[in-house]
Amino acid sequence: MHKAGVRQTLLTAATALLALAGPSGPRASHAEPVPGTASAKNPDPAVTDPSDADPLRPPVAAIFEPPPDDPQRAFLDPRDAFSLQDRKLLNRKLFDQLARPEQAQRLAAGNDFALATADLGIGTQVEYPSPQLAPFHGYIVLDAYAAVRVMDGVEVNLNLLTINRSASAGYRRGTDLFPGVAAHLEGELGRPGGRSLRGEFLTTDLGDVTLGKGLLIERVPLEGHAARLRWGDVIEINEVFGGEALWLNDDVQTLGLRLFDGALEVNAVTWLLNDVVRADYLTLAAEMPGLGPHFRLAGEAGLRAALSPSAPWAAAGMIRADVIDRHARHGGRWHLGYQFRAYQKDFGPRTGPLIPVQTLPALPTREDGYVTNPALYFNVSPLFDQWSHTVMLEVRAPLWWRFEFWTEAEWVLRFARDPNPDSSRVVYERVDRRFPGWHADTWLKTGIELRPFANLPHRARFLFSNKHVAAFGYGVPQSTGDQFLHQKLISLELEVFL
Amino acid sequence: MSRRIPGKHRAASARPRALPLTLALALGAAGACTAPEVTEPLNGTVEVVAPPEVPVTRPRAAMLWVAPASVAVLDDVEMVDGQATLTLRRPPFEMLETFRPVELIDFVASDGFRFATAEVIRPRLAMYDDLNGDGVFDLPPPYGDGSDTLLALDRGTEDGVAWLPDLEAVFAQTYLTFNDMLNTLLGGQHSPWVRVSGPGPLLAFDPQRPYFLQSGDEALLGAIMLCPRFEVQGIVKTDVKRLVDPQAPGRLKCDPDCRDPAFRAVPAEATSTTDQLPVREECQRGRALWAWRQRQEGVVCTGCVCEFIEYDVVAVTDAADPPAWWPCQGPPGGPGDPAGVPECERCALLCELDLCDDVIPPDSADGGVADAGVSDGGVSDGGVSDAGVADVGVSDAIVMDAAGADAGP
Repeated sequence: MHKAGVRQTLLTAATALLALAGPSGPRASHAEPVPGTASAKNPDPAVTDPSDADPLRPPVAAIFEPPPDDPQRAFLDPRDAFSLQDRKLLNRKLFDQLARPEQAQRLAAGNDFALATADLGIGTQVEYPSPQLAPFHGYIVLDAYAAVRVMDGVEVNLNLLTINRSASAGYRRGTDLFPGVAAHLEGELGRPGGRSLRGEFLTTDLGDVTLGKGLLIERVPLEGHAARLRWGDVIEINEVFGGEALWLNDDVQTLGLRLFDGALEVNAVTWLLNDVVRADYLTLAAEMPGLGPHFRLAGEAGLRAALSPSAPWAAAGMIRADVIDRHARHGGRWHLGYQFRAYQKDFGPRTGPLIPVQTLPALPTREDGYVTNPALYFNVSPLFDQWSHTVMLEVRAPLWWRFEFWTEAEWVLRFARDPNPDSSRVVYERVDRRFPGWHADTWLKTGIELRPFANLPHRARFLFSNKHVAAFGYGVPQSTGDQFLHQKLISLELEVFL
Repeated sequence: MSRRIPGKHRAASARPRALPLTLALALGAAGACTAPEVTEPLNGTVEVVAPPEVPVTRPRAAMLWVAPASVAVLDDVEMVDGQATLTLRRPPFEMLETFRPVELIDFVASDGFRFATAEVIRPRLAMYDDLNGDGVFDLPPPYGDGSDTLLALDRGTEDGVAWLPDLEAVFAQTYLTFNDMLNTLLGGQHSPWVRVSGPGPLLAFDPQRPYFLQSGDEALLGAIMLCPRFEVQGIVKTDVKRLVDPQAPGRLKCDPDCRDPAFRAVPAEATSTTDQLPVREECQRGRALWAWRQRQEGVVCTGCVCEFIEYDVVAVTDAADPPAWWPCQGPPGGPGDPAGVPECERCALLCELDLCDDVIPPDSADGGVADAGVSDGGVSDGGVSDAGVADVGVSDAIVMDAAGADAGP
């Protein structure tokens, strides 16, 4: 497709999208609080109204921000409250999610029986300094959600993610469709000790799954099933099964115990692999209480236990510290995070030949995630001890009218050493990433964001970045070992939230 | 309407004062870790084994680089019990540019997928006779002015050792899974030494596996020495003939095809000959038969392309009445050329032809009289055949019927 054609298409589409979104304001057919949900409990909804306070303050749409008070805490919610990265909708409990005040700006349609909403984005990415067309050089992403409430406590959710990455591929040939269906059952089983005992079951689309603080599994999309029993905010027992997590034909089974609203979490994990010995883990995650909403100090330690013949013993640990301020002066927001991770050789599930982890389905929206991820360490785990330091910085700073300075940076310093003194094996994860040794990576997305409507979250972004989701296989997971690639891109994105 | 944001009032009082703490934690943890050293490529070792039956007084082994204009010996050790361990060292920097053209080696996965291609240069692994006993390989001409004898070399066309000048580039052009395969091929070490086999796939370099040197004539050793990868194109030149005098006594298994009507008029000889290989002749006289062989065998090289040559002619005639051209030296006063090829003392030519029964025993008193001796019970060494014909299962063998031999003139 000719570049001029791309621009024209984008311009036309942007005009159409913004006209569609229009300043007509949200329809809130679903805005009535659902009984028993957080919003019903919280009569003072935590909506950041862009029109209040300082008129110079840019509109801040809370659509991607974590609810300030969510006693229910969505099951297996991988969305990190200590991050300014987008928080997409979960493909479950859609009625509850859309009933929350921060989602009230959506145009979602429906009633108490059925509901539908969507995030629609269109954009282009161009390499620089050479004006090469990037894989997503003229994409459109429709992230559509629908839910049916069969009866109280029983929901069926559908997430239909459609991407057309480029018209250059031919008529509809550049389109991938990722449907996910999730049945969700939830109900109160009793009130022992005066506290509610609730049971919950979810299958098959679990979405992104994070265990503990992310030592072993962090934001890994899974299909399978999950269940939990939750006794007030004190004790939660959960179980998760997911198929094909990071390698072909692998399975992950977990049994977890969460105490004191997640302040302490123990997980027993079995990772089944079809060609090497299975991996059994016990992890303990903890978060320091009493630090308030702006600080977090958390950690997780894990032990790989040699419960099966020829399986190794290995240990791993991580610490993460975060400072976040969503209400800085003049409407700014920022987050500074730090992670230290250490993985002993063979802690990764695979102990055999090096098979790189699969990349996730390649979508521009997946760039809203950190490069630092346990999967990054599993590629060379059979050979090396590894440890890393990561510093994350996200800043949103108002500029003028409804423009915001927008940046996300991640700096990763990663080390690997071979603990075997008789060995001198070498692995290149990338042409510039040689192990054993150390490597520093800086990932950056920065630019300008515009939310043209005061009461609506729709936005346009013009960004420079060197972070690109690995898009070799587009919809097909590819074993490239890297979920992100260094690629200098200029991107223009227009998004509406229906 | 202005809405109060829960927690906002707390935010004002709890500004991120923990930032310094976080940074201190980060920097402290970073400072506690030192970067591991980058692994540098290793020297390799290889165990070499001398070829059998090579006469030598002071056997030594050497690892050397041979460029068109220079030779460098980088390791030189004594061979004990026919074995030695050589250290493989990269060529001197000043020689690097002279290795042209360099060879290209493919790295191939088990499923045949070629995942990397790299330049390699081969050293030579040699066995020599340290004639002056100085413990140094005094290279003989044309490689030097010394007098030590080059006895054996690595098998230049078969199993070999090669050096990867840019090991990192080989790794960098692949990643992860293929790096893993590379590590296996390199013996689990980040080593620039790789064991190569043939023109295609590589074998893993195993320092523990003995490496058998190959002896040979001057042409073969010269080709291995000077050529990075010379080609031996199989046994491409053969000329093997078995000719029998129509008058030869007895009934042979090859009858009547092997009996050449022109035998007595036209001298037997190889159709092809070469002046690059010596001609070996041998004669053996039996009771009734007389055999002569003319043979050329060896490697003939033109530049870096070598061929195996096998020219072999065997003629069998009547021991009592050979043709006029018969080149074998006969007994005094008997038939044959008095100045011809002498009788070999220990050859087993007739036995090779399955005519063992015709051989005159060393203690025989008949003096080689044409008495086609009857073997034990008329049974040839080759085994009993249905019709009393020795059958050794060799299609082109000349097999004599013991009884027929008796019936000879």
